[in-house]
Amino acid sequence: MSSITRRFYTELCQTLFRHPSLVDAAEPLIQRVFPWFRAGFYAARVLQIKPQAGCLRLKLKVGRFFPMFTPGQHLQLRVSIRGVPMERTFSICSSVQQLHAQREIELAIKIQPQGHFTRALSGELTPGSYVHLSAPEGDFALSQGSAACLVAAGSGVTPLFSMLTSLSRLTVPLLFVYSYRGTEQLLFAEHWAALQAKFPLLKLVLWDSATRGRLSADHIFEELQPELRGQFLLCGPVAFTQDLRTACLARGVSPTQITAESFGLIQRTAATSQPVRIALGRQQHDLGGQGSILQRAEQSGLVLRYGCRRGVCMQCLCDKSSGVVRNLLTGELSDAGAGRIQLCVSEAVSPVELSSEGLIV
Amino acid sequence: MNQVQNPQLDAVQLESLALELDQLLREEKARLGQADARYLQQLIFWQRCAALCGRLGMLLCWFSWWWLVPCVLLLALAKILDNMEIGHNVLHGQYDFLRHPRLNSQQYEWDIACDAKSWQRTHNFEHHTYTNIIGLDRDYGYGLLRLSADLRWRLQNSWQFLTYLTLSTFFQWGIAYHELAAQRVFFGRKKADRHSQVSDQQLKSAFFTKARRQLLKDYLIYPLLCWPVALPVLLGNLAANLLRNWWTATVIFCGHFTGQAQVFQPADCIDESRGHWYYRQILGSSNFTGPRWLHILTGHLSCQIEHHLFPDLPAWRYPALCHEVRAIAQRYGIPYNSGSFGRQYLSVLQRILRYSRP
Repeated sequence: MSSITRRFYTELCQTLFRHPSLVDAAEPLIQRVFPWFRAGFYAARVLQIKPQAGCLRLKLKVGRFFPMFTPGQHLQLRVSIRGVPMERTFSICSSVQQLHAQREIELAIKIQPQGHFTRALSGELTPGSYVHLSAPEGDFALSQGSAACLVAAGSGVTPLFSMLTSLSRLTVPLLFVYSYRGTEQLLFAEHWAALQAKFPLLKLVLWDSATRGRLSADHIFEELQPELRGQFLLCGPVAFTQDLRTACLARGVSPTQITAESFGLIQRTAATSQPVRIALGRQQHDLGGQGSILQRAEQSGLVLRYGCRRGVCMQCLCDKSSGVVRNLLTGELSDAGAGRIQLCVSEAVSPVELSSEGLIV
Repeated sequence: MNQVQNPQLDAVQLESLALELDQLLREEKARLGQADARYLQQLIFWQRCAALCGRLGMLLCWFSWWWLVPCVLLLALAKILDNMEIGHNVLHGQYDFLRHPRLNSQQYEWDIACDAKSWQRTHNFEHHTYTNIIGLDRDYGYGLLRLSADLRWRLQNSWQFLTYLTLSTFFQWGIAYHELAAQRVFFGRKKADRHSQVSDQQLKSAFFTKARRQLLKDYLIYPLLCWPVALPVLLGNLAANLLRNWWTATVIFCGHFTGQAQVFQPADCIDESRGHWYYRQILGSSNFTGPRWLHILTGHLSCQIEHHLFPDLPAWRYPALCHEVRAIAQRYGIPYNSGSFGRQYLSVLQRILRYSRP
């Protein structure tokens, strides 16, 4: 639809139904027939849910409208936990062929002992229940035709595994290094031998850090023959990708060759949590709890708008009137004055005052 | 009108009143979840069905104009549900915890002339914060009616019963114009003490956008879509809007303008504690009783006291709280104003008439 037609359509729907589209307006009626239907999301049926290597492996059947993804992309998983939907972002770990042929996608969700979401997941989902997905997004991708070095740590292997299994043939050498802690933490254990057999040009290094120690750049460059020097794709915890990136740069790899995707936040360094006060309209809320400001707000009973919860989507952007916060992704400290911060990746290191209209969902 | 003396509570009593009501709210909030999601989903389903059947059914007046009667009633029902139980409550943020992309206080837009954001400023903020404070709560008489001896009598008050009937008839437009009147956007001299987060320009543009959409919808597009029977459909829509206006005005007047509902002076409420705010909400509001369908049609504003104490709790939970709130109020000697719908409405009419005389 052209932009003028679209604007006319939206205006017409707003006028007639007070909703931006017909589907939005008809949602309650459609749900009577298809209870899993949600306007703006793709419904998916759970085919299988099983724990493996400290993760929950989730196999989902998606509908015919679910868009094709690029291996390495992530999506938002929305699950109703006792009637209240929660969203988290996960990388797709299955291949494009599997989506194409069987309309299936798979996710591997790291079980966080402290995590609200992952703990509730296993209780809430059974084969046959429905979850909701956003369209796949993100530009973490393998460029075809050039040599590449893929390095993953822990559950960071998921997007890289999708890249590897989506390859129909390998015409250039590829180094795949996967560091995991102990055999019981090895994800996709059943597939590695078959993949190695399928791609002769693949050099697969499964690095058990429990027995061989922490994976460092030296180890990688030992395996890295000169002809393998091409694209670097790194995925793992923030500290891991940052260290590796620095090491690669020190060895003369150009920054444009390195693409990294990381998850998790830098370990907290502040010993005590600093007071945070949010002003919403005329109300003042003092936050208790621990962690990022978003987590603390939620622990204090506020329902704030959020999206990815890892500093990407900017939905939790908020005006800070004063105070210093640490960016939990980069470790950077903000200045003490007014500014805009993302609540999901900000931790208060001094007393902080926030003011925001429209931050509540 | 027998105005009883407000019971006087000291700071300690107010503090413990706040604690008890906070506790009640916490307990109820802990129960939020699946049941609320299901209730809202069911409600909206039936509201959409009523709207669809009403609008489509009007086409049958091709055969006989009598078909208009049930269809107008259905459409009025849909409008009332959208206005009261869905719109009012969703815009209060009662269902925000469900994280629905559109059924939340920031996104929802309702089927009345008033822009949702404007209503949130005048109603959620002004009316719910300064409930029944003379001079601060502009919902008290809407600047048109004199409902308390604390307001100076003016000549126009002698025919205020007629003003009331007119206001009820054009209620949605009254609500839509409410904030613009306060800011003197079109007429009158600006008041120096009024501050607003939005400019007059924004107010005007929101007002005209919403008004245009509402008028186009009910009086142009839908009638034209039903072309051969455009006139009956237009009249049907007009009738449905009128019914909704009368109903909402009636319910809302029963909430704060009954015979026993108390008023307050700005001086009473300077730096007020949460306890005093609770105390004022109980005294200034009135409930009425009735079957469940009546509660739903009023958007549970029949439990006005509970609504004013806990404006962001899903409204369908209010009837279950009435008993405990009444018990708490009794413990502190605060009168809990409740009665049948007929009795409460009668006392509203009496009050309007009583204060039309000096």
